[in-house]
Amino acid sequence: MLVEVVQAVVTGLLIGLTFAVLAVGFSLIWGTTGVVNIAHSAFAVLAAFLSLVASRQWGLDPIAALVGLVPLFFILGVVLHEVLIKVAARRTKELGLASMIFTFGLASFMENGMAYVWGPGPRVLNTAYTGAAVHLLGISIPLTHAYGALLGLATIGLLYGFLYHTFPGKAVRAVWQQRDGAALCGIPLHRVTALTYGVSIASASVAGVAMALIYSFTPATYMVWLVNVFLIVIVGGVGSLLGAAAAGLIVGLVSSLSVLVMPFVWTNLALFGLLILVLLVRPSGLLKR
Amino acid sequence: MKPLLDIQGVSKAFGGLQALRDVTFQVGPGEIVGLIGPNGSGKTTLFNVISGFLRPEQGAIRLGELELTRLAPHDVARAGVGRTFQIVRPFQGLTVLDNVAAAVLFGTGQGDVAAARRRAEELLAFVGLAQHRHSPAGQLTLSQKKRLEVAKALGTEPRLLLLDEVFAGLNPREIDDAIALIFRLRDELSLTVLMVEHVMKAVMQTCQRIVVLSYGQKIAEGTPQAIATDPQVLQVYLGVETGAGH
Amino acid sequence: MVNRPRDWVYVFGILLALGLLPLAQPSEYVLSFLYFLFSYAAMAVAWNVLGGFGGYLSFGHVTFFGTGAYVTGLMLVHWGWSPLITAPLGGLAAALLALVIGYPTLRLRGPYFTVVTVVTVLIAKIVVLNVPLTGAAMGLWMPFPPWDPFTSRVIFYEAVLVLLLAALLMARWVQHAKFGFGLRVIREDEDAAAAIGVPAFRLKLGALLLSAFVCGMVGAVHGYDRSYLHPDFMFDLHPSIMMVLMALFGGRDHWLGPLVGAVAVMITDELLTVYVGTEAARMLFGLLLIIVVLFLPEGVISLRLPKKPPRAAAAGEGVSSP
Repeated sequence: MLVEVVQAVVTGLLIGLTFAVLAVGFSLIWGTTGVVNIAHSAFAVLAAFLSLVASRQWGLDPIAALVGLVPLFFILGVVLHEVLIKVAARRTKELGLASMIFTFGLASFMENGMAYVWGPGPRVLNTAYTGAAVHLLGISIPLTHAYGALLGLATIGLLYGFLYHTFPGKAVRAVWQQRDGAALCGIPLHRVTALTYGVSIASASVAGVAMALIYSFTPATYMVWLVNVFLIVIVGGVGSLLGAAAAGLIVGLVSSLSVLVMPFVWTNLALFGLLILVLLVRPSGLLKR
Repeated sequence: MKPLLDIQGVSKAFGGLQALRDVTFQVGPGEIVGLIGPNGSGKTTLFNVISGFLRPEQGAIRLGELELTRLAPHDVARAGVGRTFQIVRPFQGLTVLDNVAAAVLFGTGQGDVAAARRRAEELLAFVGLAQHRHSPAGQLTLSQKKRLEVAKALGTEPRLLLLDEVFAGLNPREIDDAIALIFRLRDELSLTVLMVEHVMKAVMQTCQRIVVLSYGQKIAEGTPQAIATDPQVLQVYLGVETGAGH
Repeated sequence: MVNRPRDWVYVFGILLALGLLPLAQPSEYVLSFLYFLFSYAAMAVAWNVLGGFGGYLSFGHVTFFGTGAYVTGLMLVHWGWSPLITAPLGGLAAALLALVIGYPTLRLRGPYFTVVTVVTVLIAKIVVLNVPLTGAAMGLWMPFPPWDPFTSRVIFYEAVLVLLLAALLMARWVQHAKFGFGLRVIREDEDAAAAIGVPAFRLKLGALLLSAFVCGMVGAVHGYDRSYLHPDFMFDLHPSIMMVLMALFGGRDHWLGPLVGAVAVMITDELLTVYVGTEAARMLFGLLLIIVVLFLPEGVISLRLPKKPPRAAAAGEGVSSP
């Protein structure tokens, strides 16, 4: 029993890191611009499909494919900002709600576009190390989980370094904490928000690949991932990077530990229940001070 | 005389910050009372506590015989407390008339939309917005929006009116008009008014009595003349050491 | 607010005339298309009472639709009661569920409420998929309606037409009543609404229950028509998206808006699905949703009605502001 628990804890933490990286970019945009980007996880699924194509066409390892995917998705993020978000901010009264509708539209567009190109069925990312595992003190760590978690850890680390130790990153945080004040200090809001979208969507591409290493996916999977993202962001507090990381670990733990005490199908139910409970008790986030 | 509004020992904290500390004072029927104090002294917090948007940790608030302390904001409004907001909040998408009609409908329990609109017309005439009644509320000027806020509060048929900085941002002429309006509220509608205000000229001219808050505590209460020469008040406002204080 | 007194005479006249359409022996295809149109329109009109008038965006109304279908379906399977008769019970069951969901969650505002509505759909699907009573993943088979195909089409057609009529009357009443006034001021500014005595929570809950009731009844009729219920399509997010799209596209400020939107969206959907396929059609709807929100926030109905003067102070400062 003890081994099972330890195994579940380890798996939970690894999965949690992967979830966390999916959530940080979403949280970043919500925090800085008030936009609830439903399409965030659809971008992740798109990255998963593209890495699948890369591995099928050129035999490229999905992690290596990120060298091309990250810049590409950074550009997609900037384009998203320039084409949609700017217009929306000008034209709508309540950006939070309006953004949920039109990014839902975007997500639906992307989902069906992917279904059109790659079909609606489930896909699996097969790599040289899929199925392999490291065994340690009676527990086994699948390599895919380990790599997914490492990707997550690296991305969150880079984001942290960017936000806290570089000048543009500090500008993003300034905008996040006090928009008008930041503008008064001469921070070019427009370029900072564009940068934020680029970084956010780029992180979604890493998350998509990390998730795809562990889970099978379909174009419609974005909805399932999105619920996890919401859960993490709401537990961690909107706009909090470290909150999202910690909440990701919690969610990973809850989902892997709950398998020990209840049938697998009810795991998601437990997570959804947790989400609603947190919303009702502390809408500003459990981990936020 | 029995007070209309009775505030007894009200305290409210936000985390570690004590926004209100044991505040006690009364407002008698037909009085116009000013609530002043430096920024962050707790004036708007007190308004939010009275109107039910915040729950005090301690103390009680009564309107006549009625205990307001645990009521939800909409029940406080229906019990006879009308309020305006510091930052004007008209319902932008509705016409001026429907803004007030909504207040009549929900503030008084009136069920008939047409009758509520007729009543709203009268109130708009009273505050001088009759000719704007069919414009969207979002299009009014600031001083008109402030009048609209007053009309909305009047729509609920209040006994007590809480005015939160209705003079802020107005030019001298508009201030004179607003002062005249406040006197008419008392004289023609026999309303009791409690107002938070920074514009001293307006406070001195309209209020019979003034309550001064500083760091959440009541530090003085009295006639405008008495307040204007109160050493503690002067110290709080001007940082003047007068010898009489400490 | 717009009020051409004769608008409703035209609308209800047309609907009554459509009620007589089966006498002209139209093809089953036409009846079937109008059947879908009326079902969706009824739900969009009802959705709009909370989502449009009240501004509480729900992607969860398909849950009420599915609940109505399953509850009446089970009554048919176990007790032999026709869903056409028990539809109001399906509506009640949906309203009861709405009460359970809405009581705690309607205190949440903005995106937080919307998130919960999405999650309720996913929860409902998992529950129904795993409870033996509902046939779980096998789905629920019902006895077929005891009529020949054409009669059957006519009966279902008339049933949803009645529901649409009821939904429209309800929405029209709400819009002009005190209730609608309250919902609109809640949408504009909930705190300022409370300050004038609007019991926001009660009104929101009322609006949710009414719209859930209608969706539950539509679900009951629809489930019987299909004769087979499965969580994958009774609790699918797509119909929810369609309701939102119809209401927003038509115009959320007016009881007629969602009907106008439903007509436009269903005709487009039919043409697109036939000529370019489901996925391409749904892609286009995604784009349409973006375009409507950004460029036509008051819906197509605003194009025909007397133009409101432009909103003052609506312009932002170039970049997105929260």
